[in-house]
Amino acid sequence: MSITTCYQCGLCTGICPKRLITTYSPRRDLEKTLLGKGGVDLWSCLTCGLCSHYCPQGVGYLDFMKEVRHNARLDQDLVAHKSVFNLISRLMVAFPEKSGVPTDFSGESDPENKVGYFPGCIDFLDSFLEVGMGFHPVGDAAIKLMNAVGVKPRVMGLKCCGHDELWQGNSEAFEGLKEHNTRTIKESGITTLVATCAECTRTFAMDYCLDIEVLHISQFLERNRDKLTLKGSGTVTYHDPCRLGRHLQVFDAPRNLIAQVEGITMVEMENAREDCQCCGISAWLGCSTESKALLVQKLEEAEKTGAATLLTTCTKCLAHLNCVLNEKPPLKEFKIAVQDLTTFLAEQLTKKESGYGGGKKGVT
Amino acid sequence: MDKVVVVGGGIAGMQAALDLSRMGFYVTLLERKEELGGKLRQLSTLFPRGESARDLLAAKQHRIGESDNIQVMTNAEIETVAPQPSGYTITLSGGGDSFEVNAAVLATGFDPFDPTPLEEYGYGRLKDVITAFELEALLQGEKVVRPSTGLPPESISLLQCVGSRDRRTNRYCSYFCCTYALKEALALKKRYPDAVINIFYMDIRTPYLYEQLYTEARDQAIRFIRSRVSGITGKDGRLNLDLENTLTGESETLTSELVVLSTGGVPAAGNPHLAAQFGLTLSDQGFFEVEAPPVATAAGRVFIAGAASGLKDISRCLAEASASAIQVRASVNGRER
Repeated sequence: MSITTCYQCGLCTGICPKRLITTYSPRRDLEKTLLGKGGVDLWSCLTCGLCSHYCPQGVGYLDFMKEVRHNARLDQDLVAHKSVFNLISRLMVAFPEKSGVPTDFSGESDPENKVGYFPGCIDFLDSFLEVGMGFHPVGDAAIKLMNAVGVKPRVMGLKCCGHDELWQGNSEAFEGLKEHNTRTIKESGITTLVATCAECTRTFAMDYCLDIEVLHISQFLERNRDKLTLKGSGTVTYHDPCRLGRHLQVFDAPRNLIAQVEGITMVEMENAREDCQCCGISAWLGCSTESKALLVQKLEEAEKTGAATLLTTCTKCLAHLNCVLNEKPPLKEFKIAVQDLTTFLAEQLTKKESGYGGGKKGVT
Repeated sequence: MDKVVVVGGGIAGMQAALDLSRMGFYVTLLERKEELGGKLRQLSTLFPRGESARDLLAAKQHRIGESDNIQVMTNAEIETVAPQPSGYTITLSGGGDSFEVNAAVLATGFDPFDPTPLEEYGYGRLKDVITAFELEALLQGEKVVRPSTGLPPESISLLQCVGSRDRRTNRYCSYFCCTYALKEALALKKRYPDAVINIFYMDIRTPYLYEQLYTEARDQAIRFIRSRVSGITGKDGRLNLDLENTLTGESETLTSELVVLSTGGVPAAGNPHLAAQFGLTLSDQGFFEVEAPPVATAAGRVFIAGAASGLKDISRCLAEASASAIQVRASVNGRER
């Protein structure tokens, strides 16, 4: 619904995760906009979508944020890691022929396959973040799992999906990436694009106009889960990334995959599914003591379940949560580990006698 | 003697039956429950003047009892309706009676909205979160007490628009909640002058003369907080309400000992069955559609009275009941009354 239908009831502010740590008020920003007052707080919103989920009128706050940020001037001091990830994507736009994300992963791939896999920026995260874990294995695990269900994906050396540029309001950079990626995808002839990151999935599915199926790896694997034999032990919990959960309404696929692993117990956090609390940061904006407070809160909620591992399906949530775990000196002693669902599943994979993928090719 | 069936023994159905019997019709008044009265049975006093719901009900029941032309059937539900040249044949469920009528008045009322699915309010989980209907039951008695302690509350919060004007539940305004909340707040203030009473609202909707109650409530220092509460949690035996006061822009957590959810209404569960039997259409929301408001339907001899065609207050229910009776007389040809 358009923001003009807003009742100004303030439910959004009451429920906003930022309210716990700041005086941010989504309602006030809508009021200012509706009255043409200006002075809207452009950069506090985490774009987690919790407000729109509960809004009695279903006001599209995310679309509102996207629109007001469009070409707005962002104070670069707000961007974490000295904007290095923006630099990378700008270089991709500037040198269209030479740049793309690295595609060097283990496992079997097939450049002719109609199913494409996009690893996202994981290798760049490895280059610039020190969070006590590697991101590259996410790509290896994705291909291993796809192989296990009989698919040798075409690994797509696309440019950055542009998610962060989009939500930072850098419309020109986003359009450049979108244009290039759209062309590459069309030319490749793939009919399904699978991504391991919730942000990539949301961006390709909702902010691009691709005439192909866009799936998160959890959705792709869930469809083929009868071909997966998974065994493990222990207790896990699951964090719904806002992009995959509230934005794309994918809640069951990751849970069904976890349930597929024999010997694993899944326990839900207090706020799960539609109610899941944001990890605390979005589009590298405003990494601060405030956002860390939200991250700590998230980890505390996860630990309360008694699970040894917190699984998630977004590369960024993975980075932010591990960043807090790896903080020196520690913000708090946490026992829980945070892992991507893909690497977790790959570790539980038991090879079938017959091997996998034998001669089978193409879409399943 | 022409015959009419009145479906629903709440205030609208009772009034329609009384008016029809006075006009010389023989009326069969069907009530699904054990007794007549409907929602009136659950209410304490009636806005705007504060008369007792029990007294009104007793008066209507007395007159129905005195009438020779009203047959009351309780625990009765319609199974099938078969159109006839002069009206309908009605068959009751459970191998019940079958009888012929010349016209029908449907006064099926509404069902109270159940706030349990709205988990953020904690209804069903937090003892001291109750619905307005539950408060009415307490107001019928001597004392209003907190369910958790059995003691009168020192602070009470009434939350408006629970199950109304919300895309997750019902988009419509339930019409009566603002006015009954004002009535309840004033009744509470009268009994417990020292209690802090808050009303959380988006807009106060008090049609026509009910505005007087709004003025009175403000005069009596009922606190009006413009906000939609986003969550209620229990702590140390009290309730914490998270909200943004939208007039000040402040995010606050307010404490209250008793929370009353001003729940709206939903269409009666039996509407789809009755609509199918009588060949009527329901609105998108599930209420009976009237072709010529307020009471006439596309089926010539079926009329809708009261909340069955949309939520309304008791005075409008009474007016529609009388209007239905007049329309029945106009539409039924037989003159041997």
